[in-house]
Amino acid sequence: MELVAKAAVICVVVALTALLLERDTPELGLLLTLAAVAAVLTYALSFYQQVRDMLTALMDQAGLETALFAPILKIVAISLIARLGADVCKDSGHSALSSLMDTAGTVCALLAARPLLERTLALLLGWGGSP
Amino acid sequence: MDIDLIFKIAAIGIIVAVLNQLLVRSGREEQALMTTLAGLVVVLMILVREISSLFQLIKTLFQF
Repeated sequence: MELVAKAAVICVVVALTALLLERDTPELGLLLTLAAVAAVLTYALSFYQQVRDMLTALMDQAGLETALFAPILKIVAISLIARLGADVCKDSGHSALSSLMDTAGTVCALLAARPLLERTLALLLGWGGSP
Repeated sequence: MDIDLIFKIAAIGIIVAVLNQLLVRSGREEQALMTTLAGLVVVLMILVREISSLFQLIKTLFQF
């Protein structure tokens, strides 16, 4: 709750200041937005360790390999970076760069999911092979 | 949370915007452009370090 309140206050203050700056120096307004993104994301990620510990405990209880879970975490990180990057590009008025960022994120997510897909395929082939 | 960084960049931005306006009104467009560029480089230098540490944190947390 505290995190959301702090993030909301910072985002509103930064948005207002960026609006003020964009009249004369739009590039500095964009950099201010980027600084706010970096600060709030760093703060939010400092709480992420607790979530990861809980997920790891759940995986252990379910008897699943934690290696199976790693690609999902990677895809979450990739989507986070790709979306923020794309939105920053869109804010600066460069939609083509934004679309490119989305595409790069999709390709990276597919690459990160490759081990999971290979394991699933091997499992399915194993089932198909045995009568 | 590193709010000082945000305030620092906002202060630099406001100072650069005021200087830019003053120089433009007094007919020194080239110097106004140079001031804006200098402000941009200073803020970029501050921000690159911060974003690099953010990416490092993401790499550590998400097991890259």
